[in-house]
Amino acid sequence: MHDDLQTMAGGDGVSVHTGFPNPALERRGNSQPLALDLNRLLIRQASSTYLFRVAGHLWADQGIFDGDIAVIDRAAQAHSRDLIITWREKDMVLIRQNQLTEEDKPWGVVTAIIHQYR
Amino acid sequence: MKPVFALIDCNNFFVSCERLFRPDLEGRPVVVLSSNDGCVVSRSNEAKALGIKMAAPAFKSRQLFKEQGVVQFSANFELYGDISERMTRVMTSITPRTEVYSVDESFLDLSQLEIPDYETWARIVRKRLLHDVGIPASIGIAPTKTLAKLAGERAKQDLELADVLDLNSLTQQEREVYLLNTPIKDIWGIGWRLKPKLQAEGIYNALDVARTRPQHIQQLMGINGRQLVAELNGTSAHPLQAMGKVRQTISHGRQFGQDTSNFAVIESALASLGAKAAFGLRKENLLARHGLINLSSNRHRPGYQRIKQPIEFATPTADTGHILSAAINALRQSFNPRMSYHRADILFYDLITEQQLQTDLFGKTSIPTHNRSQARLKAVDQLNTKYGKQTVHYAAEDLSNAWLPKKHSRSPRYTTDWSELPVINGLV
Repeated sequence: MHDDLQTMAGGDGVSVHTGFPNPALERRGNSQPLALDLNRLLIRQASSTYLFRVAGHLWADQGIFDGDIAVIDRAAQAHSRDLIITWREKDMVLIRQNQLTEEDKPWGVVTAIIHQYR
Repeated sequence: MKPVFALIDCNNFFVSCERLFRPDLEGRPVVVLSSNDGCVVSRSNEAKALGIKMAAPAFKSRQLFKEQGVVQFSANFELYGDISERMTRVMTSITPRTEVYSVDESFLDLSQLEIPDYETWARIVRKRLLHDVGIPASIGIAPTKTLAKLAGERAKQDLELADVLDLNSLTQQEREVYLLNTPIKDIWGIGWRLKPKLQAEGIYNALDVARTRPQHIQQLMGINGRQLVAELNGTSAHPLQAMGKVRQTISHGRQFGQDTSNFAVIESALASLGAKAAFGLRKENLLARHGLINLSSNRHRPGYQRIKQPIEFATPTADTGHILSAAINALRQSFNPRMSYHRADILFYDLITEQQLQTDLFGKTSIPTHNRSQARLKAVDQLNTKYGKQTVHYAAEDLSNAWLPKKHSRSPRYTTDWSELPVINGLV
């Protein structure tokens, strides 16, 4: 076949000669690596995503522990059952969106909690 | 296609970055001080209202700061740099035709976008930057960059404009009101030096400049004056500087924690700055052809002295070893043991890319030697990136850091250091 030998651009400008085109690379337009990227899972929009550290055990019953990292997206639309962070008096605290009060200054929506075991 | 530019200018940028993580500082006077807490580099509106001036030396205002409860921060440039990148990301998602003019200002070329109403568009962009990134900005829109800058300044200063001014949709007569209200010191491209010269000719505001005959303004301020008049009258003379432009200079500087005449202290400071600059060059695949060291005594004390000494390289380089030996050589040649050194700066200019080196200097430079030193430096950089800066360093780089400025009140590096993340408080 005339197209048996295809030249494809691999990473780093290396030419790869291959009998069959790699359909996965075709699908992703060659520009993205194949490996899974945790950033893509956890961060929807980098410009509006900030990371916070949880201190204390106040939310342990909800599975959020001391030392966990909270991924906060300021751009996400908050719904009533969403966990959000808000500034209360002198601190940033975690609450459900439907528990916001007049004095709160909502800061962003919790989109993930990262808990590292070791 | 008619040119249309937007100038997006972050309001009191460094202070706004600090307030993002400290909402309790909203409404209070806040200032950010330069490295070593020398001068005011950013002020909240409340601090401006107290009469605190930009670049004012902080020691002169200690009393006022104390009496008025002014909250002071030492500059946290990692934080400001990260937030600035976030702002840029949002802007380039609107249009790749974005020119990052400085850490807190960008020009956007809107001519290829379909925007039915510029003011509405600007309000949406402003709201998005404030909500998503968390930073307030002013937006000026106009057919030239100079007018866009002027519009941005008016948008910020005239409270009823609420941070947005679209000069593009106004007639020439309507525009003139804003030009009239802009003193010459607020015009982009007119330095304070020119002010008395122009005032002597009866030119006090942007409208006066716009109405000056081109020949006359050229006599007063050269060819730039002609372009300025054209721009103020709505004819674009300055196109957008596309992104990805190769940077022209790289510089690093610091004030000493304490003024010193000790050669070894100054030498190690310069070595550390030089190593940083070399790392910066390599990160962008650049080589420096020329450089200079700049050493000065305290500007606010009598007998102010300043030494500028060029740094010469045999061939363009980004090699820490070459850079340090040349810089220290320059220090040796210019060192004055009777001077009290307050500040050290190192600057490299005339930068070229490595590709340029290989095309236009092939033959003049020893490529094998260059490559060998490249490989060694790459290894050094990889170690430093992986295990933290200064893991691998040259002996001349002082690690005691005795000369480093005291950071009295720097906020945490909330967004660039895992150990300094902002905290959600769940302590019972």
